[in-house]
Parts: sequence; C-alpha cells; structure tokens
Amino acid sequence: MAIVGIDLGTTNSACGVWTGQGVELISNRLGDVLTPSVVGVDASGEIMVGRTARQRLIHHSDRTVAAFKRLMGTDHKVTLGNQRFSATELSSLVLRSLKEDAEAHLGEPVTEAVISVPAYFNDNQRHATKQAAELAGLTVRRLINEPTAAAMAYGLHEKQEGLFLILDLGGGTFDVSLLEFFDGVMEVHASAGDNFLGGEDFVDAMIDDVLARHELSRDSLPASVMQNLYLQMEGAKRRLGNTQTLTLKLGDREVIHEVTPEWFAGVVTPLLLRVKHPIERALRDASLHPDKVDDVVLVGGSTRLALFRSTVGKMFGRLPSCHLDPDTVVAMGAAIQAGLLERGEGLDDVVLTDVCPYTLGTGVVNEDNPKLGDYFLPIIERNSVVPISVERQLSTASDNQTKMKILIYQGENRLVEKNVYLGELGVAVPKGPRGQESVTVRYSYDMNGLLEVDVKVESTGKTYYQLIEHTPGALSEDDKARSLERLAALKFHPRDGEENRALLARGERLYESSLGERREWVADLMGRFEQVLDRQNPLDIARAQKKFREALDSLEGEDWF
Amino acid sequence: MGPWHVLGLEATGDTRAIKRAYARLLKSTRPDEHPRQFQALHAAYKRALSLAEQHARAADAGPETATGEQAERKPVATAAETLPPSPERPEWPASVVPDDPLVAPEESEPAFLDQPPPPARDPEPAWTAARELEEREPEEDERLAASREHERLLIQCQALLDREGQPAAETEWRFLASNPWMLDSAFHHGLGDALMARLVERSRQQEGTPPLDAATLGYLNSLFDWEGRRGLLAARFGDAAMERVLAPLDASSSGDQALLRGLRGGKETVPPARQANAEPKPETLYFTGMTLRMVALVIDLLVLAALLVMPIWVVSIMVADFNGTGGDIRIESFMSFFLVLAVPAYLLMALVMEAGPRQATPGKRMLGLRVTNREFQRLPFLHNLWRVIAFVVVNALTSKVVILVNLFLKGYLLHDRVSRSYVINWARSQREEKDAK
Repeated sequence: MAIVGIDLGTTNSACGVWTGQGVELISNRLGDVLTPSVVGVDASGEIMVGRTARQRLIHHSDRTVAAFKRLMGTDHKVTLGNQRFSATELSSLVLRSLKEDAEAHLGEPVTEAVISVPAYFNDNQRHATKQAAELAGLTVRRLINEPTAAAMAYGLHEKQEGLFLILDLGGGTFDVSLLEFFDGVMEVHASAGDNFLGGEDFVDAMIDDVLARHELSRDSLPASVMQNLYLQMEGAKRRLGNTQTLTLKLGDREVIHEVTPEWFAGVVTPLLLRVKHPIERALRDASLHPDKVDDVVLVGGSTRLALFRSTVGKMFGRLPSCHLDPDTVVAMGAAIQAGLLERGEGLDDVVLTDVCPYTLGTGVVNEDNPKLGDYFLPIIERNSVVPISVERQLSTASDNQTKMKILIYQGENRLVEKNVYLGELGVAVPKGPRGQESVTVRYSYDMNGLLEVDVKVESTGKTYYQLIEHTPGALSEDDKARSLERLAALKFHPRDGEENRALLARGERLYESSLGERREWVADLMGRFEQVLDRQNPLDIARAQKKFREALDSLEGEDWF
Repeated sequence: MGPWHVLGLEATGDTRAIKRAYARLLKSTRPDEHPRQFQALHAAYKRALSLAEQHARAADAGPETATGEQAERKPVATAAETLPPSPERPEWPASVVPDDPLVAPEESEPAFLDQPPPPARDPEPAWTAARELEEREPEEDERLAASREHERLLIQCQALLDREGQPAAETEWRFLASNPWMLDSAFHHGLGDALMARLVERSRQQEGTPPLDAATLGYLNSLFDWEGRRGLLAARFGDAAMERVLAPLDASSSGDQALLRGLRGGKETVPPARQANAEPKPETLYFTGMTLRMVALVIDLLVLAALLVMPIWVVSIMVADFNGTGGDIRIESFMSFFLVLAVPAYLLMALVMEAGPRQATPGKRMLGLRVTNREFQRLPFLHNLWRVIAFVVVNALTSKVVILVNLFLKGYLLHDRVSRSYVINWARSQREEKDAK
C-alpha cells in the first residue's frame, strides 16, 4: 500500500505519491493538482471542500471558511451555518477529500501519509496536524518540514551539492531553512520563520490601506463586501507590474482605486522587513556569511511576487532560483519522503537530518525580580539536531513543597510567559527544606518535531511519562472519539458531478456580483446548463460543460482561481 | 572518545574527507532508527569540522592567531553574534552606515541633542563630507543618497521623540515603513541601530522611564527586529540600557489579533471558553469560621425543608385526613419527616454538589464558600464520598464533644482533617486580595 505525501497548505493543498520513476501528483475530482484549503457547508448541511467551496466564499461567507491553518494548535473554533468546527476538524475534512482523491487515483485504500508542516510550526500545531490526519483516517508516518520537503524535491531534481537557503513564503506562513546536500546526506543547519506571515497578509495590508484612505474599518462593512474587496485585491496582487484601475464597492460608496507597483511597495514594506528577520537569524544561528550560500531557492506561491524576489536578490546579490513549480514542490518533497520511508525503488539512499527550530524549556522561579514573572530555562536549544534527548535537574523552590509543576514552553524569550505554552505536568515530591528535593526532567524531541517529556523524582525514583496536560488545541481520547463520530455523520457532496457543481457555484458568484444585462445573461447560461444536466446524457453534459466554462471565462476575463 | 575515532579517520584538515566519512557512517546510523548513536556521530562530525576549520585558519594566518581562545569560541553556534564584520564586505552584517558620524553614540550624540532640532523635512543638514564625495562613481552617489536619507529620517524620528506633551502615536511612525530605502539591508540596520542609540540616550535622560509606549515600540520592533537582535544590541549599549528601553515589550502580551486576521469567511470564531480552573486563585486563602459553616448548614436544611420535606408532609397529611386517620400530632410528624428525609437528602446533596463545578451546596454557595482538596482544587467524586462519610462518622458518633472541639479549630474542622479537605471562604479571600491591591 502506498504512502502518500501531502502538503496541507494555508491556501492550497496537494497530494503526491512516489511511483518508482518519480513523483506523481494526484489530481483531484476536478482535475486540478491543487485543492484550495477551503471548507463550506451548503444549505442542506452537506460538506464541500476545494474549488467549489472557494467559489462560495463571497456570497456564502458565513458558511465557508479559508485559511484556517492559522488557527491550528489553538482552541478557537469557527462557526459555519449552525455547526462549530475546530481548525483540526476543518483540516481533517481537507485531508479526507485528498485521501479520497488519492484512493480513486490509485485504486486502493490509502491509510498512511507523510504530511508537511511549516518548519516553524510549534509543538501544539504539529500535534493538531497529526490529529487532523487521524480524524481523516490517515496514520502519519512522518511530519516533514515544508522547506525540507522542498529541498528534497530540489536535491533530487538538480543532483547538485552545496549549501542551499530555502525560502518558503506560503499563504500564511514563512519558513527559512538552511541546508546542505552532500553524498546523499541532506543536513538542515538551521530553521527559522514567522508563523503569521504569508500571501494573505500582503492582501490584508492592501485592504487595510484602502480602508484607511477612506476612513472605514473592517467591522463597518458587511462580510460579503469584505470578501469581494479581498477578491479584487487578491487579483490585483497577481497582476502587479502595470497600473490597474479598480472600481471598489465599499458599502454604499463606489471608489476608484489605482493599484500601482509603487503603492504596493509602500504598503507591504513592513511585511518585507519581517521577511528579512528570520533569514538573518537563520544565517546568524548557523554562523554563516551570505556569500557561502550556493543557491537561494524559492518555494510557495507568494514567492512569485516580483518585489519579494528583488528584496531577496538584493540581500544575497544574486537572483534566487525557482525551477520547480513553487505551488507543488512541497507536495513532491513529501511524496519523496514517503518513498524513502517505504525504501521505494529508484531512490538513492538519502538520509535526512533535521533540527528543531525552537528552544524548548521550562519555567523556573525568578528570584532577582519576581515582579517580572518566572524565567525561561532552556532545555533543548534551538537548531539542535534531532532526534535529541536532554536531561535537566530542577529542585524545589520553597520549604515543604509537596508538588512540582513542570511547565513546558517553547520559544526564545527569557520571560517564560512570553513563550508558547505547550502543556504541563505535575509530580508529587516528598516534603523537605527548599532545594533538597530534585527531579530530573527529560525532553525528547523526535524526527516529527514532536516533544515528549518524562520526569523522574530523584529521592523516590518514581518516573512520570508523557503526562502533558492542557495542551491547547489538542483533543483527548474522548474528544477524538466524539469528533470522529461527528465528522463521520457529516455528508460530503458526492464525487460525481463535482465539476458541474463547481461551475454552477462560479456562475452563482458571477450572477450575484454583476448587474443588468450581464446578470441576466449569466442566469440564462446557468438555466440552460441545468436543463442539460437534468437530461443526464453524459455526452451532452460534457459538451455543455465546455461551452458554459468558456462563456464564464469570457465574461470574467480569466478564472480568478 | 575523540571525534576522529568515531569517524574512523586520522586527524585531518580536509573537510571533504570528513563529510564523506560522516555520510558513509550515517547510512548505517539513521537518525530515526538509532537516535543515540546518531547524536554521538553528529557531535563527532561537528567537532571534527570545527577542528579542521581551526587547522585551516591556523595554516592561513600563521601560528599566532590559532590561540586557545578562538578554539573555544568556535563550536558555539551563537558565537556569530559577536563575530566582527568581515573586512571584505563592510555592509554585511555591519550594523552601521559607515559614513555616518551620528551613529557612534559615544561622541556625537550629546552634541546633537544640545542643538535645537532642525525643521523636520530639511534634506540639507550641515553635511560637509557630502561635497568631497560628489565627483565619485555612481556607487558612491548611492551611498551618499542613503546617508542623506538616513539623516533625514533620523531627524524626523527625533522630532517625534522630542515632542512635548502628548507622545507621538504609533501611526505617526508609519512614515518609516513606506520609505523605499528601508528594503536596503545596510540602510535598514543602520537606521534601526541609530534609532536605538537615540532611545537609549533618551531613557538615560528620563531616569529609566521607557521612552516609547508598548504599541509604538511593538511597531518599531516589527520593523527593526530589536528583540531578535537583542544580543547584538546589548553588546553595544549594555544590558541594562536594553532592559530599560525594551521594558514595555516585555510587559505587553501578544493577543490573538494576528491569529484571527488572516482567517477568511466563517460566521464567527469562538474563542476558547474560559475554563473553570483558569480563574485566578487569590494569593491568600481563608478557612471558613464555625459560624458561617453553621449558617450554611442551616440554609441548606431550610432549603431542603421547604422544597422536599414540606410538600411530602402536606401530601401525607392530606392523605391521612382523607383516610380519617389524622390526629393532633402534626408538628411532631413534621419533625420526624424532617429527620428521615432532610438529613439523607443533605448528605446526598453535599456528595453531588461539593464535587461538582460549583464545589458547594446551595448554602455554601450563597456565602461564597468552596470545598477543595489540599491543592485547593475541586474534589474528585470518591474523595468527596470519603469526606461525607467522615462527616457522618465524626459528627454522629461523638456529636457534643465534636462541636465543642470544633469551636477551637479555626474553621479547619475535625471531619475536614479526617477527610483531608478544606472549606475555603473564597469570597473573603477574593475581597481581601482586592483590598490589598
């Protein structure tokens, strides 16, 4: 049984499999390689995923959600219609859809996967991703970091040795990995990143600027107006290069807005500066001069921005390379990793060594300045090579203490509160004067980037394993069973006819966003197409589909997806 | 075991050979299969590489530079932070624009501050070095333009810092980000450091009050990454100065704003419900005195009498009247009803409700009391069962003595002690904490 490689992205997801000769990307039911990570619920409560859902984002924005990857590893939930979903559940719906596509393509059940996550994803987010896969009926064989996956695809493609800097600017996250490829070894030297920086933020910055110019706030506009604005800005971002004149509807006003490259540059400079910080940090951590980097590789759809390329180009004094499709290269890398796990034929013996991108540690009492709060005691330093296991001794902080609470944090701040809380575990210790009792805390970080913590009480010899409690965003066994039950009860749109539904959803969107004659024409087109569908003659349907799509294309100029 | 032994090599300066040996060994020591051996191998590999590099450097620069000090600094990854900028390319990672006289904080800064601030948008401050450079190559021109722009922005910043009364709002600093020069690495670093120098100076004058509020500092930090480069900056300005300037950043908490911004669609997002144990616990907790405990008990019994005993008693009397067996013993019958019904009902209520989310019976709840274990947390059900049994046994068997003894126990009563649980006066604890603040 094949292991599939899945890129579960903020904006788009993709899935691939190792075939022996190379990676085969699996098309979804609509024939696309990319499946938008959008989930919608229709009026009858059926779930839809992908392009059909994406078309409904404007006019059914209360029943559709995108970019939920941002909420992974948190306890936030999103309401769609009258149902409430966690980000983990939403991701599992996307994974389920990909899994079905893979099964249809391969003609066999798919139960195992390698899933890529941003290198800078924290422990909570990784756990949430793993659980999303479990909810979708997939066992995660490995969580692979996205830049590493991209590097694998490149390494195999180019057969080149040297030091590479991978920049992965996706829809919602930015990752930097510095890695070296030699003699079949792929060694990651350092990873850094920003979990809240991606293409979506560029669009947000554009929207914010437009709204500020017209003294409007996001809350004052209805959701559908915002979605429409978002769509227009997204389109404008794709067509940068020459001046575009947009007519924007802002509530009851209509304004003309000129999108020029200069305007765009001014608006997104703060974001580009944020791009530079992790790059500099990765180089600092690896003690490397930018001259030593042999090649800068761009991954992720947002690296298509000319401004991003020129900024990076200036930093390194050379043009970055981008030979493979930045949208699918991560899925290809994940599929290669899947092939490696199966020891698939046609793959040279490549060994991958990775690092943990964050410092992991615990809170200790701050005696110099208790007002500031506890200090952070690093246990595993960032960019240590994984798997790694480190022990540290901690002792009691007050007399007659009977319980020690080990708080588990991840981050770089010296104040423990400012780091990411991963969980805690409490152990009982015998009474005694302060400092007499001690425990040995062992942090183990595995190849998937998942952390395990054991605590041993020195005097009693009692050991506590893996008792991390209160992990944000994580499901307990009960929750998971409940969630599984709930998700299993959800009805999916049937696979057949998905293309027709996607076309109708697009027609509907066009109908609602146009006026007058144009609107009537769309209605007419849709009516005729529905009539053909009713006749259920496959040949006619195929012909009508093509006609309908062409008509919509000509109306819209291009498919905005 | 030395690194060379692990790698199976003679000591060598040939990094290529080291890598080859490492790669060969790695194939049989995969990180996912042999984590321990892999760590040892990897450590040996890194050590060997750094030894080889030292060797190469010593060979390059002659024996006198290959001192022990260098050897010790090398293996630490973060040593790069203190590495001097390489002489061949001064613009990287040098943090200062070379021609700028104002960035060196020791000498020029105070002089500048003594002068009246020039008009904010004046592009021509006294700039003598500029004239000398005018006839040079275009590259020089660009450098010149950069330092001019640097100057101009700094003056604008200084004007914002110097403004009397209302401090400048975060939005007024936005002009920095829209400047096209900011994307130039050297310019960006130079400006960030120069601005930091001003802030350090300012905080020194103001006796420790941070010169910027959290919002502004947060914004500027997102531009200049001061937090991320704290080590570098502290080396230059001193730890204490950085602490003073960046204090508001430490105090502010990052909200969920960034998290929710990128999300598209959805009817609403539901933030994590506040969990019961997330409520802040007062620093000092008080036991509940005997009087309040008795009052709570009386309230509970009255509630039970009204809701449970009374209706049953009334019905039974009506039935008795109907059958014609009723007599004059109505009050006594109420008391017996009470004993038979209310006492077991109270115990049952205590058993269920004290282990429930409120941790109190209705009477205790009205008075703001909570039953907890010795960690001040909710009792598990079985623990509470033991508490109820202890209550019955202790009070029923030795009732008079117990009441007398309890009067002297300051709210930590006998059955509490036996069952290792507390009844905390939560309302009072919270009140006192508030008053203390």
